Amino acid sequence: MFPDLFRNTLTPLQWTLVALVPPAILALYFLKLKRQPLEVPSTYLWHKSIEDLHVNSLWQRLRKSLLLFLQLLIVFLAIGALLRPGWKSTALEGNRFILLIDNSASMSSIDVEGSRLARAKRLANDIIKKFERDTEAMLVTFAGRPRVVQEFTDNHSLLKQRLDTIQPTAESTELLEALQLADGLANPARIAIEEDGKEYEMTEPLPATVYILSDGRFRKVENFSLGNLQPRFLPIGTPAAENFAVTALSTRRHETRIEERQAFGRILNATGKEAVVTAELFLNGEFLDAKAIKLPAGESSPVLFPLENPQPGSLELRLALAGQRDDLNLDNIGYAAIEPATTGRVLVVSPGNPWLEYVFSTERIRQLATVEFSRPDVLGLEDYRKAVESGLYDLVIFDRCRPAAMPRANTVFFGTLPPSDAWQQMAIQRIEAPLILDWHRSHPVMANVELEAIRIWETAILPMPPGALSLIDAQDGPIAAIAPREQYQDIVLGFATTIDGAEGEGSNTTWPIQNSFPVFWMNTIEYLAGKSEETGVVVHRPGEAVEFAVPQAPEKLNVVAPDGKQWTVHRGKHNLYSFLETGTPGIYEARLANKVVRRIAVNLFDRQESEIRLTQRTTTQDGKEITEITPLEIGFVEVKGMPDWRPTRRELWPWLLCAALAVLGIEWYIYNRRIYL
Amino acid sequence: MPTSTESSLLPPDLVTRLERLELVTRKIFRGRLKGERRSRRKGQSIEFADFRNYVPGDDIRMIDWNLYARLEKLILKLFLEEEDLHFYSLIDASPSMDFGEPAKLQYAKQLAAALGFIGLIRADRVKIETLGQNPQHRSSALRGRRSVWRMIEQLETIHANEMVTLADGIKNFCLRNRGQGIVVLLSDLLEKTGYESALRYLLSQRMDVYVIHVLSQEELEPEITGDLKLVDCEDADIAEISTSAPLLARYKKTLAAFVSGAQEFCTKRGMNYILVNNQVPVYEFVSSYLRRKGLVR
Repeated sequence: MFPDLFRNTLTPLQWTLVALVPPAILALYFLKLKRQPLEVPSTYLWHKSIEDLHVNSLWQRLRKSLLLFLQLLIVFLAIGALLRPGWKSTALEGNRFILLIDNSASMSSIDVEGSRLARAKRLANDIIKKFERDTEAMLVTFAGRPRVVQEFTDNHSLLKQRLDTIQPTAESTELLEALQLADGLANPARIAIEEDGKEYEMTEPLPATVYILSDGRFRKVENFSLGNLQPRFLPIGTPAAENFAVTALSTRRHETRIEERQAFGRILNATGKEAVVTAELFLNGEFLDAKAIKLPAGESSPVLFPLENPQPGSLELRLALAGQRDDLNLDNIGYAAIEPATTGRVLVVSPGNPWLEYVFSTERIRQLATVEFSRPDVLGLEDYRKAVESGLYDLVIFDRCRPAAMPRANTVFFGTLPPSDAWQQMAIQRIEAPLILDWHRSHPVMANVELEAIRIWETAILPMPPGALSLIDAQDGPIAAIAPREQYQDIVLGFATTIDGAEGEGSNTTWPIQNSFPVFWMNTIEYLAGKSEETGVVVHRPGEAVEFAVPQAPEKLNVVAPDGKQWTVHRGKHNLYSFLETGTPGIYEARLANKVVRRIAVNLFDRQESEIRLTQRTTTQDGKEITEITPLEIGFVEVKGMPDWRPTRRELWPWLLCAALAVLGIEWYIYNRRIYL
Repeated sequence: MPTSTESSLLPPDLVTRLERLELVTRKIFRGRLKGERRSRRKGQSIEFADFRNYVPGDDIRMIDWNLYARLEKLILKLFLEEEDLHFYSLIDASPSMDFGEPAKLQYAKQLAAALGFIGLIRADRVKIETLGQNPQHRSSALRGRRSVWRMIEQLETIHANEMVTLADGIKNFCLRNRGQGIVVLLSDLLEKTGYESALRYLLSQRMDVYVIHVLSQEELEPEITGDLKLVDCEDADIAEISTSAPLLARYKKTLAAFVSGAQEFCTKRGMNYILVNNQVPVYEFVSSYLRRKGLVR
């Protein structure tokens, strides 16, 4: 009759036992009514005393039974509480649930009571409270990567306990992996057998309802089929949330003044109105500069600070918000590491090239890099191998010689081809007196390089590996090219400055006597050996693994997190160090014997996370315009948000239980004080 | 007096204390024998009381010859008469007296023993009687310190098994003892027909009447719980009660009315009424309550 008014909490056997309690109390009461005889000196005074009390005998009987009534009332209140009466509830469908709780950075927003994560936890708690006795559920959080907080269980108090342990993170959001994990764990006992190359399910997969408690600030999920999962999206947050964020910070050398650096930042105004915010720059905690930036509504603006001879350390760009509402504090600071102003290291392996020696002896080059010269026979030595494997050099120039394996550095092959398969895939075509048709004028290496007047005696036409870019084109193909290799770049020039002829070594090109020759090498050094001057180009995000190299590559070093925690990191493959505990944004310092050898900035810098406003869309339904929370797109399924969905029943049982306890207290008092009406 | 000292009715320490006390009466009684009591009547003793003129017939041994020599008038020198006193202890030994800890009867016997002891050591005539005593059987009067053991023996033969009404008991006592003196009634007065007619019999005697109303702590502050069937130990009458605070309050009110009624009845008729809880130590009661009431000093 009222399917939702009561909720069964006991088994039939337990109900039978409960139903026996009132008859038991009545039986005990009637047993108790057999009055105990007590001999007294005289009933004279007692008769006199009870004469008045006998006036209304029916009322007397009722008064005598007051304790009985109170006891029965307690039992009925307790039974009522066990029935869990309540109203206004939304039914939960099914009895297997997966609660996916978003604990990414944007869930720390405080536009709802507590925070979005706190609200999500409250909502999840309400869902758990509504479970039937045999309902199974699983708890999964998702941010940068999913984490199973609790596997399927029907122990609801354990679920609540585990729910409390969920902590916010500073990571970005990735739902796909969480869904894949949920799909995998939803039916852990599923057995599939393979027969004739086909897979057969031996057990029917059980359906599960997935509650996604999130603010929906993530990319749409593609290439995922929900299958047996029934998604329900409970959006957390408000479309009126406001946030200001630093979404980028990097430093680089000044274009013209070599001793000066510049800090580039980007500030986002994720509110509905134009605002002016002050961006403050701090270096190692000391204030450097501040700028007021006018930010149009919903847009971001760049901010540029000049840095004169900055000390190595951590650079922070903080937002100073003068009374402006900001619901997410996590993204108000951007970090960048300033490494010591070191010059690049360049190794020139050459049988002897006076032109190169001359070019690299200029003051300008010396400012940019330390150049070492070696003979080609060094390539066979262990010292060389160790040096290039540890990444000691930023750039290695192979002049008419080539190593057995590619070094862990940028390279320039001058008159030879790299030993890697990519460059050796086809037979090399050599031509004489090539006609230079064009060159890549916009590439940094070719900036201000004029090649019109040069003559080349002999050159190789380069085989272009995938991703290679032609720098100089002759009539038969490229004679100079640049190609990426892992994190390095290789420049290959098909011709050298000298050529071995019948009469001995002779000049192969007129290029060295042109202005463009030193300009080209200058560009190359700047481009390939001067990169360490730039920071913040690669963004490390919280929760992501960081790989880094340090000079000399010691076996282990300490990494100090911004919150002061320390980890020991061991050298890994390719002399790289891998570090995983990047949960907190800030500067992580790699230390060797308490000396900082490397700084790594970990930043949120995620516009999706900083745009904390819940997105809305307007649709037309039956001629009426309806504004609703933008649904989640999972595969080809649209999962509509249910912002008003409330699983909480207004439960009466706590009140009934309190009333039962109160009546118990009254009964106790009456019994002990022998108070009758 | 080995008997008295060994008795539970008169412990040695009580005896020591009681020896300092004596019984007093406000009324003038003619003792049968000379006692140690200074009577308000003038008589023969060594304690001077007053002078008065000689009238013929006076004992010439009483003439103060020194005064005659000085004033030439015959002046009689009066001395206080010392005489004995009749002291009766009338104990209610009905079954209702067998309640309490100590039992009310035991307490009454202790009181009777204490007062009797005081009387005996002051050479008063002491009689211990119970309400249920046969009207024809007169108990002998005890006198002198040497009779203490007999008194104790007599008290110890008293048991709470006398089924006689208060009125009949007192009437019989009055028939047996027509003399004057002090009578101390030791009873719980729990008489369904009322105590008034019974006490009136005592008034008819010219006696100094002390009604010592002995009630047990259980009667004064009942500590009973639950639904009970109260059975009267004397007539097996039944009262069914369900204990409750109002009922207990009403009982206390009824008890207070009963006690104040008895007190008023006694006071109006020149009797002394004293309520005693069986928890009050006997010596404290004798030396404090009874001294205040003027029975001992």
